[in-house]
Amino acid sequence: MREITFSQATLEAMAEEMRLDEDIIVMGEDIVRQGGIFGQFKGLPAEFGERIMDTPISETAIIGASVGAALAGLRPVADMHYADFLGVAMDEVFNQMAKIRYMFGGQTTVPMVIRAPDGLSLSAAAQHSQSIEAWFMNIPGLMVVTPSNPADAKGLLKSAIRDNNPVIYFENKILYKEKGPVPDGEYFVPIGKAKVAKEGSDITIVSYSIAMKKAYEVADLLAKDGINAEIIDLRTIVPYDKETILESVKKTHRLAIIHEAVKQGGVGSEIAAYVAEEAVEYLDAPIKRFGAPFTPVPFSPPLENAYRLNSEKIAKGLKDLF
Amino acid sequence: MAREILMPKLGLTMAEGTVTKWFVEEGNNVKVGDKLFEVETDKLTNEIIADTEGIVRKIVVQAGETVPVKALIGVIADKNEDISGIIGKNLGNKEEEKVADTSYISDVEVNEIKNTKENSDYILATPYAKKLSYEKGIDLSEVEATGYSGVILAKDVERYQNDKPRIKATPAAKKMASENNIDLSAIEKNDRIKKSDVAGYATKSEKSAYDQPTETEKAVGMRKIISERMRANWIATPMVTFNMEVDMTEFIRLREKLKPIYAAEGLKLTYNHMIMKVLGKLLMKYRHLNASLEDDTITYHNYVNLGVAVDVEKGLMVPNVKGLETMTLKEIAEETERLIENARTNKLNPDDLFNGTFTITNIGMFGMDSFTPIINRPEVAILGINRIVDKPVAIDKRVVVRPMMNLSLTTDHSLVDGALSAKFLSEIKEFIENPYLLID
Repeated sequence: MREITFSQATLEAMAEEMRLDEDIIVMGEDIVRQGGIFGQFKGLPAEFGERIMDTPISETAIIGASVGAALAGLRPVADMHYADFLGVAMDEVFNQMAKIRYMFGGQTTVPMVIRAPDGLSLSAAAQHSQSIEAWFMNIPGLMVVTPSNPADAKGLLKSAIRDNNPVIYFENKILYKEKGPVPDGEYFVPIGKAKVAKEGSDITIVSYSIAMKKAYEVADLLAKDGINAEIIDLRTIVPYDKETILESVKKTHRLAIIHEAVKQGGVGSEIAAYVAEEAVEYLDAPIKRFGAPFTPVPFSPPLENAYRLNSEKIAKGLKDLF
Repeated sequence: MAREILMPKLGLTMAEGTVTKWFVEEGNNVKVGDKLFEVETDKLTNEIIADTEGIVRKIVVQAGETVPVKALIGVIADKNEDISGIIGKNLGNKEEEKVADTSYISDVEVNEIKNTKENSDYILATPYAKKLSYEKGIDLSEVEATGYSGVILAKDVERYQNDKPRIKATPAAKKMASENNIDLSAIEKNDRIKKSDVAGYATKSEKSAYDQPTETEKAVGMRKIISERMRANWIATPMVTFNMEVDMTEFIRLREKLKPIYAAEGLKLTYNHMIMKVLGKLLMKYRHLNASLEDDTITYHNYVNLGVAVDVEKGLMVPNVKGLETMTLKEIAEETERLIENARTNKLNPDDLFNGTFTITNIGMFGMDSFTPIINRPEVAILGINRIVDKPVAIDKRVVVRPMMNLSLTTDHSLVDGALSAKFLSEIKEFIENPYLLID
């Protein structure tokens, strides 16, 4: 299978969908002039002209205009530059975009996608490094996807654009340059369906986005001690795939959740609580969550390094449960 | 706060109970959930658990004593609390009470006791280990923990199950034991069992104990109740036992047909269940046999609660199947086996034992052909069931071998006349010999 980068995969998804549906428009900061801060829009303006629009520096305006355009029949894709900036447009996101379909009794839908690059990069500091997907787990009315590799990046973005409901598409900044196998031709990755990325029998590791790299590293370390980990790539955070998680935990009797976002109140907390509610009698060890410490992301490179997930520490923590 | 320990009321009809055993002594520290004492009532044994914490300051009722419901049994209070008021109120200051003086227990000692208790009380095990142990019927307190922080993991439970207890003995000891039919597990020894141990055990068990004191025991609890009831029943009731032989050919055939069908649903079908089904049909018709006689009052029951005599470790219990007349054979099989199981594991509710209207008792498994069962008053009849045995019988002037069984029906002649008893028994015979009559 051919190998392309995560960034190229998203470009393919955009181009394929925009060729098929003229109602798809794109709004964002510096996406025409610069091709996106991570090059993820490069080439689109040349092919699709005014359907790709640079906006003033106002996330409120971008989301507000996108919601309006979606209500008027278009299918906007809004780029947030950095996921951290979603806070500026929060009313538009959680009160308008997520609620309008319900407020008007289903007379209209809001078919739009917010693309939000997230995660730690190199010393981008506290306001440009966050992973905020867990906030949106608490907002009924929208969907959240978090691809971990180029193939899923393409398939999930196409599904998100095709869906008639608002979808937030968190794409990790470091993953953009990562290469991976991507199938030829058109395909979709369904929203709401997790993938068993590696089958195993002794512990279930649930992860998504960039933390999947850690999940694989941890599984390799555990394998040295004869522990065969099963890895689940969630792919969608809202609605998350309860069935796949439960099925795996009932098989392995142990659960760990790994994400780059802050551990406290994170996606892992929700999954841990769900499994404890539904399958506590199947657990042969405490559920373990691994995430960032409860502190703003430090600018200092050594501190930032200490802030990151550490596969060795995770593997050791998990080994001690056996 | 001082707390009175009272004789609990365990079931609607309980009037008094016997303390058969104390798990604590005066001066002991107890926590919520600790076992306090054991009560026996109408053949059931219950462990009573502390619902408060403190020190057992006074035990008023000793093991073996019987007191009415709500009577004061003991007092739990703090170390230096004055409990003379409670004792005085309940016992009317009959004597100057010797209240356990616990003030000598220093705080350190109290803490030590508490700590050991806490350590031993809650067994640390993962939820999955608990689930497994429950499913496999394994007592977690016997399982060795190898998990993190001394927690029992699922694999510990599995290992426990796989490790069968092994008795260590020398080859010569094993040989000697097997030649003399001696069970090695009966020889108490921590070390490896040697030939001399087996020899010692064999001599010991052969020696007569004629010059040793004889063991005596006070009849308490269940034994006391059984002996009182049986004596009262025997004295108060003019009992007659009627015996009748029935041909079991068709009954056996029916059971063989039904057995695999029931087994597929996990049910065991016995002749008892089938005879109960017959009784469910007949007893509503024979109202004099499904009656109670108390003083001069005859009560004709409009339901059949059929008692089943069950031999248990300490004696005999007669739980009854309620509403038998409305039950299908399957329901009878299920409910009867449940009651028998609960009787043997001491899990019966007091209400399972009351309001019976008729009883059956089967001792056929011991090879009996006839006996005179004693009525379980205030009931007026009991049906004894004997063994099934192949016998030569004359049918149409020819001798053939048939599986035969005796029924032994005892009735209270003060209410049930002889002719009625005989008629009842012969109708049972008719149903057993031609079970197709059960279909109507």
